[in-house]
Amino acid sequence: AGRLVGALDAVLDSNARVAPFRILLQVPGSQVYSAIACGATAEEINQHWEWLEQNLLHTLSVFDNKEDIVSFVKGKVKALIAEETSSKLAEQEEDPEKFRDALVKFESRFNFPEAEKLITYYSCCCWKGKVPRQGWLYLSINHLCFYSFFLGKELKLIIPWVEVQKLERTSNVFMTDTVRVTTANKERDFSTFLNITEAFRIMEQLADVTLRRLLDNEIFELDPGLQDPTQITKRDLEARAQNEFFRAFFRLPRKEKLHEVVDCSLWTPFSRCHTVGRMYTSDSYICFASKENGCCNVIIPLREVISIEKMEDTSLLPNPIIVSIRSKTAFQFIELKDRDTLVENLLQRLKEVNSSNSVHCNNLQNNNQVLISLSLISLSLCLLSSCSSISSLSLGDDLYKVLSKTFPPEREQIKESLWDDHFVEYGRTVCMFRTEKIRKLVAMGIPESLRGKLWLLFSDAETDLASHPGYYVHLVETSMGKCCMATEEIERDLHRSLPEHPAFQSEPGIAALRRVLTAYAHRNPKIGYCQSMNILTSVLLLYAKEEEAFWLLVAVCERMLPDYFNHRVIG
Amino acid sequence: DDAFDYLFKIILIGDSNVGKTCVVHRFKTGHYNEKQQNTIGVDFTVRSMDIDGKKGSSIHWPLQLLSFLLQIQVWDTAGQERFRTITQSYYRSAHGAIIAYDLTRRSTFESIPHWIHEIEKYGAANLVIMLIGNKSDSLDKRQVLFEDACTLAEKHGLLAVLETSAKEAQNIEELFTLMAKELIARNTLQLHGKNPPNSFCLDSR
Repeated sequence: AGRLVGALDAVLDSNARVAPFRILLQVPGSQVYSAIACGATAEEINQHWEWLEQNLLHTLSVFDNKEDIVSFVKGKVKALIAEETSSKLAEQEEDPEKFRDALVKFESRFNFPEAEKLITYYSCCCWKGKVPRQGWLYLSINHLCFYSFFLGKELKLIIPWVEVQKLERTSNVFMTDTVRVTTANKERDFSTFLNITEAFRIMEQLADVTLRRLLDNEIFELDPGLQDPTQITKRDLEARAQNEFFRAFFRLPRKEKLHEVVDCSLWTPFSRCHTVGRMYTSDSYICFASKENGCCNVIIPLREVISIEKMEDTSLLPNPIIVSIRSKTAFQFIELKDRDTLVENLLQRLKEVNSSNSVHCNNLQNNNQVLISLSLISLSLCLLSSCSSISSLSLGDDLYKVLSKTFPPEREQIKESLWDDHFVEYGRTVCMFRTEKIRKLVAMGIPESLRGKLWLLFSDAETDLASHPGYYVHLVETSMGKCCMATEEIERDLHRSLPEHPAFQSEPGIAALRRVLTAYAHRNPKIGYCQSMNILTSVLLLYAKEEEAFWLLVAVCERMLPDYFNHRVIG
Repeated sequence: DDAFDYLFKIILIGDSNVGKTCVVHRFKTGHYNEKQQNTIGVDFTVRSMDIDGKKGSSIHWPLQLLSFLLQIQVWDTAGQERFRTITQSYYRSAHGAIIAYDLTRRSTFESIPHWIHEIEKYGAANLVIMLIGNKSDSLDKRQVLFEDACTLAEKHGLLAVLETSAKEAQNIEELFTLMAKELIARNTLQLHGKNPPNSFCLDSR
C-alpha cells in the first residue's frame, strides 16, 4: 500500500544557497520527489522530522493511492508555511494584510453578518470518517468554522459555540494529538495543528465566554472586557486563559490579577539545592511553581512579607532576591531576568497591601470597642433571656469539644507526628513548601486535631481572616434580625443540619450555625443561602472557630467551587 | 429482578421542609426519623410492593381478582427553588408524581399550582399526579382546609388528595397503594383518558 518514504537528505551543499538539510517526499515507484522541509542545522531538521513523524506519518495509511498522499502532504506543508508566515504577522492584529485576507475569505465562505467577528484562524485537518481533510479552521466569537477544498470536494462546517458540549484533546487511531469538538449529535476531530496548545486554549476560552454570556451575566462574573463580544481579541482571550490557569493552579481568589511571570530558581532547603521553576506575581501574592510538575510550589501572600531585597549578584548566585516573611523565614530566588523592574513592582504592591491592611487595623480597633460594648449588652441580655445575639465568637471551641472521637487514637497520633515532622522540614505557615509529600499526607486523612488549622491553611482562608479583622463581627451585627427569603430558608434548615450530632441539638450550636449562614447570605446575595451550605458549615464549625468557619465557607463558595452555589444549581 | 410485574418511577416534589423525605423514609422503613437532614439535589429509594386485588379494599378497582408484585422507585427531590434545574431532569422518566405540601404552612399549599405547572412542562403527558397534605399530626396548627385541597385537585384533574402524617404513619401506605393501583390499571387496561376514571379524596380520618 502507499506509504511515505521520507528521506533525510543530509548532504551538505557547499554552495549553501539551498538550506543544507532537507526532508524530501517521494512515493514508491515515482521518480519525482519534492522538498517538504528544510533546516540550517541538523537539530532543526530533526525537529521538523519529529513533527512530521508525530503528526503526519500515521495519517497517511488511510489513503488508498499515492497521488492522494502526495497531494495531501504538499497541501499540508503549503498551508503550514502560509500559516507560519501569516501568524507571525497576524499575531498582533496590527498587521492588517494577512488577517484581512483571511477575514475576506472567512466572510465570503460563511456569509455571516458583519458583527460576527473573526478572532483567529488555523491550518489543520478535519476528519471526515477516516479521511483527514486539510483546510482552515476559523474561530469567531459565536462560531467554529472549518473550510476545506481538497481532492475536488468542498467542505464547510459551521458549529455555533453554544452547541458545543465538550472540547477535549484526545488521540485517535491515526493521530496523536487531536481536538475533539462534541455537539449534541456529532463529534468532530481536528488535528495537525502547528501549535495545538494555543489553538485549543483559544477554543476553550471562546466556548467558555459564550457559555457565560448565555447564562446570567449577573451571576457568572465576566471580565468587563469580554462583555461585549465585538470587542474580544485573541490577546484578551490568551491573557484570560493565563490568568485563569494561574488562579486555578494556586487556588487564589477570583479577583486576583496576574502581573508577571518570570523564570527563576528557588532555594529549597529540604532538597539542599535550587529548584528551577517560575515565579508568578499578582496583586497580593508571590507564587512559585517548579518546572517539574508537583516537585515544589510556594504561595506567599504579600501580607506575610516583611521585605523584598536585591542581593549581590555573583556568578554562583546570579541576580538573587530575598523575600523575608513574618514567620522568620526567607525565600531566595535567583536567576531573575530584569530583576530591577520586578522588585520595584513587587515593592509597590507590597506597599499597597500594607496600607490597605493598616486601614483594616484601624477598623479593628474601633470594632473591638464596639465588640466589647456589644458583648456587655448581650451578656446582660443573656442573663435576662435566652440570647440569640452575638455574645461570643469562640463558640466553635465549645462545639469542637462535643465532637465525638470516632477515630482510633493511636492512628491519630501517628498521623499527627507525621504532620509535625513535615512542618519542621517544610514550614508550617501558608508559605510552606508544598510538595508531593503533602498530597500523600492528606490522602492518609488529616488528623482531627489538625483539620481546622490545615483547612484554613490550604484554602488560604487564613489570609482572608487575618486581613479582615472585625469583618465577621460587623457582618453578624448588620445581618442578624433582618428578615428575608434567605433567613427563612436558613431557619428551616437549622435543625436539619447534622441533626444527629449533639453539637447541633442545643441552642449554642444552632445559634452559631445561624450566624455564619446569615452573615454569609448577607455578604454574598448572589449566592444567598443554598441548601447543603448548612451541612457544610456544621462540619466546619466542628473543627474550627466560628469566625474561621465563616472564612472557610467563603473559600469553598467563592474560590474552590465558584459558580457552584448559585441562584440556579446546575449540577 | 425479573420477578416484578411492573416497575414504577414516582417523583416526589413540593416546597422545602414539608416532609417529603420523612414520607419516603416511613414508606421504606416503617419508621419516622425525627432527625432528618435536608435533601440535597435528589435522593432515591426503592421498595417492592405486593398489590393483592383479592384483599378487602374499600376502593373500587377494576382488577380485583389479580395480584401484582411491583417495584416502586421514589425520586425524592430537594425543595429549594434553586435545585429545580436539577430536579426538572427527573420528571420525564416518571410514571407518577406526588406533590406534597405542609398543611400547617399555607405558603407551601399556595405553590402547588406552580408544581403542577412544572409537571406539565417537564413530565410525560399521562403522568399520574397525587396531592398530599403532610403533618396531619399537627391539626391544631392547620392552615389549609382539606376542602380547599380537594377543590384544587379537582380543578387540575389530579388523581387524589390525601392528608398524611409521616410521624404517625397516617395514609402513607395508602398513598403508595393508591398510586400503584392506578398505575397498574392504566398500564393493564390501557386507560389513557384525560380524566382518571375514579377520582376521589381521602382525608386523614
